[in-house]
Amino acid sequence: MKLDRYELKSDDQLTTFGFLSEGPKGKIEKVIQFSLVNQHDLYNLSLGDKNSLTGDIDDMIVTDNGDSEKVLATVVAAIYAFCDKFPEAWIYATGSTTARTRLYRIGINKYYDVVENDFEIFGQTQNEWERYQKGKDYEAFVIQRKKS
Amino acid sequence: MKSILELNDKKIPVVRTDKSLNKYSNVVLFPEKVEKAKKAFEKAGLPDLKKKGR
Repeated sequence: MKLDRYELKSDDQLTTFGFLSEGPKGKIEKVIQFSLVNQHDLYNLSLGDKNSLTGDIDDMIVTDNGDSEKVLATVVAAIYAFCDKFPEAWIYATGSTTARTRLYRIGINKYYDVVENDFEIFGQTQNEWERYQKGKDYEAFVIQRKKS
Repeated sequence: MKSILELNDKKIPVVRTDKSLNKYSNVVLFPEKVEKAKKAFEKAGLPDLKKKGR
């Protein structure tokens, strides 16, 4: 399965990535960041838009640039790149809103067949982790690169 | 020699370094999300890799 995606750039540490979303709303700079949570090897994954006027990164904005599938595929690519450097990392992801978390779930479902062979994928329900099940609602997700 | 397009078809993408992104390297851009992640791991711990799927 070939996934159309944007060209990724990153900082020297390979923890912050950037790409340019292109669509009806024009070119929008997007930033993906893997932030270390307080424990070793636990990271939070977030995606936001760069405000072209202020330079601020906003994860609440609704871009609606008609390229959500390509954006999701680019985020998946960034996860592969990040885990290539940090193979032990656990990556936590949740949406800024319930609706956005649902979008993430739809995205995981879409790419599940591609990524399930490479990643351990769990969903959070009521403060517990369980193996991800397609079609089930989760509050958050956590993944780790499978050991080869 | 493989072209960039061929390499980008791979799961692990070609990633070019962009020095302008270094300004974010030591900045937490989404502190609320990090706090949420911290709480989730505090409450639920790490997933059990031995746990089988259904």
